[in-house]
Amino acid sequence: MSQPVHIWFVEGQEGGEVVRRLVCKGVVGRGAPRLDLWWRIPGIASLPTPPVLDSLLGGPLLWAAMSDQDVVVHGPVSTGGLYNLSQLIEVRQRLSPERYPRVIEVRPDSILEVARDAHEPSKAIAALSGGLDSTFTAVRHGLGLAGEATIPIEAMVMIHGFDASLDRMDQFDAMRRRAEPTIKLLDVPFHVVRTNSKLDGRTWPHSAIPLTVSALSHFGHLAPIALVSSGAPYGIPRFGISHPTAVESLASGDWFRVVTDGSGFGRTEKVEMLTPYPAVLAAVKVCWAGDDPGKNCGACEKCVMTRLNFLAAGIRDAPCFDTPLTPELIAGLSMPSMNAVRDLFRTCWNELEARNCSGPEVDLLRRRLSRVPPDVVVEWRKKTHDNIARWLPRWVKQLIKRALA
Amino acid sequence: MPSTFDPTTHLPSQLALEPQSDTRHTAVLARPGRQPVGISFESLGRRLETSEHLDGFIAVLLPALLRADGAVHVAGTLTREIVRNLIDASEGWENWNVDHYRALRISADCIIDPPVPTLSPRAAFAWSGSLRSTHTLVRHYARSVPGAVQVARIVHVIGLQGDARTVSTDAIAAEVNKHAERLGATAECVVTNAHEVGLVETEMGVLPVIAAALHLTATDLKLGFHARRWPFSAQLRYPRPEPAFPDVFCGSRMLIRADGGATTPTQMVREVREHAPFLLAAISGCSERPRFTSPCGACSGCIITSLAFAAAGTSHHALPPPTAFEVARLQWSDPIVAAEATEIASDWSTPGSRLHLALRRRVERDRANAASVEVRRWLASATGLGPIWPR
Repeated sequence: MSQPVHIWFVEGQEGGEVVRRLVCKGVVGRGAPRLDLWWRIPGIASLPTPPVLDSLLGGPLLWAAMSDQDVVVHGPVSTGGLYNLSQLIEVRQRLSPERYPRVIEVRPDSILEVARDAHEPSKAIAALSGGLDSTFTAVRHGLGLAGEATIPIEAMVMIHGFDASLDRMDQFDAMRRRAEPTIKLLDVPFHVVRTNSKLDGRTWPHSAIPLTVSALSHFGHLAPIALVSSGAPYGIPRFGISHPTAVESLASGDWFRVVTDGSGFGRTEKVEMLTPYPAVLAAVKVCWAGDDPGKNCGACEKCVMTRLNFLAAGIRDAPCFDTPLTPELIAGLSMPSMNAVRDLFRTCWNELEARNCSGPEVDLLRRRLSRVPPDVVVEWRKKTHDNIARWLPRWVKQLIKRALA
Repeated sequence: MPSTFDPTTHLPSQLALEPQSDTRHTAVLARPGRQPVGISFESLGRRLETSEHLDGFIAVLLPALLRADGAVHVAGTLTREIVRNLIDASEGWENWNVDHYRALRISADCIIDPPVPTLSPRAAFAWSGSLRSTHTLVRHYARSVPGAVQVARIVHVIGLQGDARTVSTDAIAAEVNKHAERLGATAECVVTNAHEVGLVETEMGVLPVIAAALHLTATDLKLGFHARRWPFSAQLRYPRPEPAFPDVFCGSRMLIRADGGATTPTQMVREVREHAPFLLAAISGCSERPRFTSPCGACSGCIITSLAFAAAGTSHHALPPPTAFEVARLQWSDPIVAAEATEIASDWSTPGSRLHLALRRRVERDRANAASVEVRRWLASATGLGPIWPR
């Protein structure tokens, strides 16, 4: 067992903007012995200090758990926050023991009872990345489309440091410009939070929602809820690799809590709901693979899967892509084994099949999916290949290599 | 896939309270073209407070509403949080199986929106006598969870397993009281007709009923805990929506929190033995006989319980260790049984015993079987004889 990580909260103002830090000392491994996680809020000179640190701790705890280090928090944590964070670690350790070797301990200096104003209505600070999921959530709640389940949005936050790296200001600016139609449509205050809290991304995607909540929590004085979009729908609840709502809700504390939205909808349904807002639909940005940060490349796996979602929604040429969907794009999808294509199957094929979609792309996808080998076969094939390769003389191997080339 | 059902063309169901007595609360769900359903909860020990809202009753009716209606109006008050949560849950169930479930529209005479309570220092705990619920109770009693709360009340629901008919409710209450006293808590036994009127759905289990009982009996504490029905290991084996939901039975006046699910059955027995050994005798996983009666010893629930005790190096007072034949016969098609048996096999205090080896053989057989099923389905899919198979 390693020494504990000690965490302090520091806040101040630099260059006219609020800067908040978690100073982590005693770090083992990369970044040792001190790491500073920071959040900068451009355009805002001061903010009320959060009464508890719950919302800032989710990401660092996962990262400390990967390093097998307990955490000592030199600051207040709420009772609910402490319980939830401990559960978050317990559950993540159970689901991914290869990542988190044990259930680490969290020891705060003080445990505070904090409560919101008794007359404060439930409003939210919403995260907007410009992707399909977050655009759906922002529009659904911002325009009151969720009926009695609507959570009024007090402000929206876009985070720089997650999808666009901090040294790519051009990429982030393009992402922000692209989301303008959505921001305009909803007409609520919009803020940017820059942060290095993703660090080297080794806790990603497990830390995606806890770190999003950390960024949103700087506006926790305005509303008690962090509204974030869900990834996996409830209909395909894969705990091992994704971030299910039950686990993400553990990033909540007594002061600021998380509501993940949209798990009851597939991506095609999300496209369908956004269809009456063509400018918003055209603004959707799902891709981080292309050269132009302002565009979706249209050819990477994420782009092709999103195109298939649009196709299932009856939109062959999706307005957020510059080129039409072609069978070549389906042919280019990598399908090495069943585990690798489960998401493609569940989020795309199921939707296409349920809506009786047809066409050359659908036929090709069906043909390719039907032949994807199970992982056990892939492993067996690899093992057999290795075994045979060990016994073959070098000249035979070279002959085969030449023949295959 | 969205449903083709249009709730706006249907009259909503109506939920309304019936006249109350001091110890019994009843509500009636009137559904167009169907028999009304009357659901009641009766406290055996004390007067039930009249609640300002019907969050508990709307929770218990969720399975019935999802099956058919699409819309419900509550003649009374609901809290904003339960409305949002149940709508979210209903969308989740519809997303899971559009042929069986419908997303809900919920309306009420009045929807109040106070801030959601914080985690209070004292809580009510639902306790059925199962290993999981006993473990949840004990780990908070022992304060072994950071941020753990004091066990102030134990809530036991009678009527979910035919127990109200076969065992005297007074006898059950006496048992629960006895254990609660030793934990320094009060006991609350609640009799419900939820099972009899068809509100317990196999796929959703008894959680809506438990949540309703907590809403009705722990208003003063504002916090209720229940054990997770599905351990996380079972979810990894067979993903389904309910374990992925956040705590959907929370209202704006009361939190209903799921707890546990990450501990092996063997470890649960160890922790109960360490912190509250007097509860070991009360533990039963029997699916055939009511709690606080002698377990059948033959069902998968009994065999798993017995295996967990054996793996922890102790024995259950009413269950002999299972034979290798019984282990081989375990109902592996139930993901919870399969997941727990696999966990027990990997967490055995003194590995190498005949029983442990028998269990390990069964686990190995399961692994081999899973691989062969994958290959068979792939071959069928590739040759066009079966459906496409990455599921």
